[in-house]
Amino acid sequence: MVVGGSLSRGLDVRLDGSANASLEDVAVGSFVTVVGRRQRYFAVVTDLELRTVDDSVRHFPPTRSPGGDDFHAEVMAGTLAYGQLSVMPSMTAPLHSDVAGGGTSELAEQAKTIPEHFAPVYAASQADIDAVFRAQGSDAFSLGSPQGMETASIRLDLGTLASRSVGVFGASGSGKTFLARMLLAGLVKEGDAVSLVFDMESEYGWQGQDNDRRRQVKGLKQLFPSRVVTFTLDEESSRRRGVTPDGVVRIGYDEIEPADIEVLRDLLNLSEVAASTAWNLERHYGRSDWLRAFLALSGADVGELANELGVNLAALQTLYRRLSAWSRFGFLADTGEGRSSAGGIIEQLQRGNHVVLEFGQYGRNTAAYVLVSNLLTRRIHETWVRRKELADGGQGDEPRPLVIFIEEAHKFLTPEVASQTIFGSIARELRKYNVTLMIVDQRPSGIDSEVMSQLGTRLSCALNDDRDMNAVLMGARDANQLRGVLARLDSKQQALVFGHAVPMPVVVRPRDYDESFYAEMAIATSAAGSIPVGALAETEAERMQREIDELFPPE
Amino acid sequence: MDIIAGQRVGEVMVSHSQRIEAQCYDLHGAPPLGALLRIGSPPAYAVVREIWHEALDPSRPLTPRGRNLETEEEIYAANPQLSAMLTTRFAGLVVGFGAGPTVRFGLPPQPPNLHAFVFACDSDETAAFTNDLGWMRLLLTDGSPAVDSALAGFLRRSAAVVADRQGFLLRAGRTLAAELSRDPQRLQAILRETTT
Ligand SMILES: Nc1ncnc2c1ncn2[C@@H]1O[C@H](COP(=O)(O)OP(=O)(O)OP(=O)(O)O)[C@@H](O)[C@H]1O
Ligand SMILES: [Mg+2]
Repeated sequence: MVVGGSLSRGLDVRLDGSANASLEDVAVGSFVTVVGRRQRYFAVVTDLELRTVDDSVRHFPPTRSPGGDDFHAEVMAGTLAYGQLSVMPSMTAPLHSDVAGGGTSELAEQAKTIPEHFAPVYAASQADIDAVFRAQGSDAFSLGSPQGMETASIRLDLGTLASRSVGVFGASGSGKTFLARMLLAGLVKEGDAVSLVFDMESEYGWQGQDNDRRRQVKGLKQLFPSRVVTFTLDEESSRRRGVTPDGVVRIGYDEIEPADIEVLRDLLNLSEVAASTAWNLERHYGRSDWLRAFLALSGADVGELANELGVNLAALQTLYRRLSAWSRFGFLADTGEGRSSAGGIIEQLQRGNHVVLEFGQYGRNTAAYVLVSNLLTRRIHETWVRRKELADGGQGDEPRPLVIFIEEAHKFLTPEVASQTIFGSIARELRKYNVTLMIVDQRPSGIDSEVMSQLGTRLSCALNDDRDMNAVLMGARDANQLRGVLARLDSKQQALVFGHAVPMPVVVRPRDYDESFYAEMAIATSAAGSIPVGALAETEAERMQREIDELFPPE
Repeated sequence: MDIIAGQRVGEVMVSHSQRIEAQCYDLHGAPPLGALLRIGSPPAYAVVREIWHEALDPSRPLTPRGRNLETEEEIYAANPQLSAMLTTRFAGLVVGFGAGPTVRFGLPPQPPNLHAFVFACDSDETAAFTNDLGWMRLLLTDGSPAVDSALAGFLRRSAAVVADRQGFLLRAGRTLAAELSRDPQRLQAILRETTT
């Protein structure tokens, strides 16, 4: 029952000694329901505490009685010494005596009141969970089960989720990729928004790796062959993996701007001076030719050029050395290719197809990942802005909501460069142009705090580092109470979800990514009627070839 | 001398709202420490807190008489006048009173009359006091060190006759714990005395 507390601090709930409730049965993050006089409150357990009525109990704990039983301890437990929960009430719904079991019939809303003293507290039921999570029927996307309630399920409205930027965080191996892939699958199934996935490790498109169970799991393309289009930067790697991409992406030298070099400054380990010489090069060679011309120079020519431009020789040489490595990027092409690659992607997105861009070997090169995703996103974003502005002016349709998915966000949303990348601006402009981000990261403390604070919904798996936990919770309401919950997540497949898409913070065990998940996704696709992929759809012959390749991988 | 349940044991000699003193009819004939008493009519109920034996006439102090005798009994046999000179008295703490057919815990509106008859309660009367143990706090607030033993005595004897011994002891222990939440040592001392 409730014995104290406040709205800001949360409620103190004394465990009922006579009902034989044990602290050991209540996990931090569990859901409880407080039945007040007129309202029912939904709350999350944020802390657990052993209390004694008087300090002297610590000094004179129960002794074993001569008979050897625990009579004294039994007498004292629940009377002099008792368990107390800290619970944070977030939502409330009116109590109706006419609803069977005193349940709730209305949807829950934010709690602006707290229950009175001695209100009884119960473990939450599925009906409570549904009342809070606005289960719009059982067809809403089911993310997983809440802490300690294996059979209950937390349902998310993915439209709401996608309408603001989303962050998925967690230490390495905590299940970010699995969680994010489920969210993406849900988005594809739902069909309102489209997504563009910059798939660093090629684990979203065709198939992903389950490292623990040493098996492959289905990627988005396998789940939704007709709604997902895969592009690749690295045809070689795709072929090695027996995957036939729907398209290949190339970037033209002429499309890389000195500003891109600035963004990559840290990743390329360039000094400020070295990075800024790119601007001198641009002035010298012209906007579209600077990089190719620069890289075409021989080492000796660089010295001359430094003289000619009046820039620091060492700085220019460093820049030259770092950028020379790019000549090995197979995806860099002469001119204009990026525009058409981006065009191809945009076309797919506009048709309502989701796009996964696999990086293949280049995923291991963060500079390449950042360069390409930044560049393509810039183009796509431009298109969305233009179409949105036209639509606002009464010409044409609104562009579809677009979710851009990036990994390792801390590499290019650091405070230094967040303001310069397109992702920084997307995060900041909110959904003005119907574009939002889904960022996946294991080092949230490295991400610009302004970007973090713009994330509508955050899903965090276990984190090990204090700074990362603080970063995830930054700006969150009740951050103090959530801190304890976040710190105690299972190291795998458990996440704290809070923000825009959930009415109250909740600890979820994401459902297993398995056959039953596939099945749920599959039914939806056929029911909704598939959208043809068009020219890039796999033909029957291609599919057979792919299947042959899968069975007998080409050398 | 064993007291039979329901037996009349003496009369009230001193009477306060919360405490009575009674004199026994028989020397050494007091109910045991912690025994439940019914006093007068309408009845008041009290728990024996203390028992003492003394000379009837305080101006004639006792002297030893057994130097040359083998047993204690021989002293009384050799001095038959002693039973007229000596008496047993006991003090009881009032814990409840009868109001019509029911028993109420707490102090009666008036203390028992002087010379009111004092009975040892029978098991039916005791049941009301074992079913609800809330009255125990009336004993705990008494300053006398003997009350803890009196309480333990009551609980020990009651436990021997109730149906569910363990359940009764746990319930009693928890009731005590609520009263003695700031004094776990005293609580444990009473529990120990109850169960051994
Ligand atoms: N929902 C899930 N269903 C099945 N397995 C899961 C799930 N979540 C996590 N796992 C298991 O945990 C392992 C690690 O998960 P995942 O690859 O998503 O971690 P990660 O956080 O993306 O790690 P990294 O930072 O190394 O990319 C998976 O290989 C899988 O075995
Ligand atoms: Mg991963």
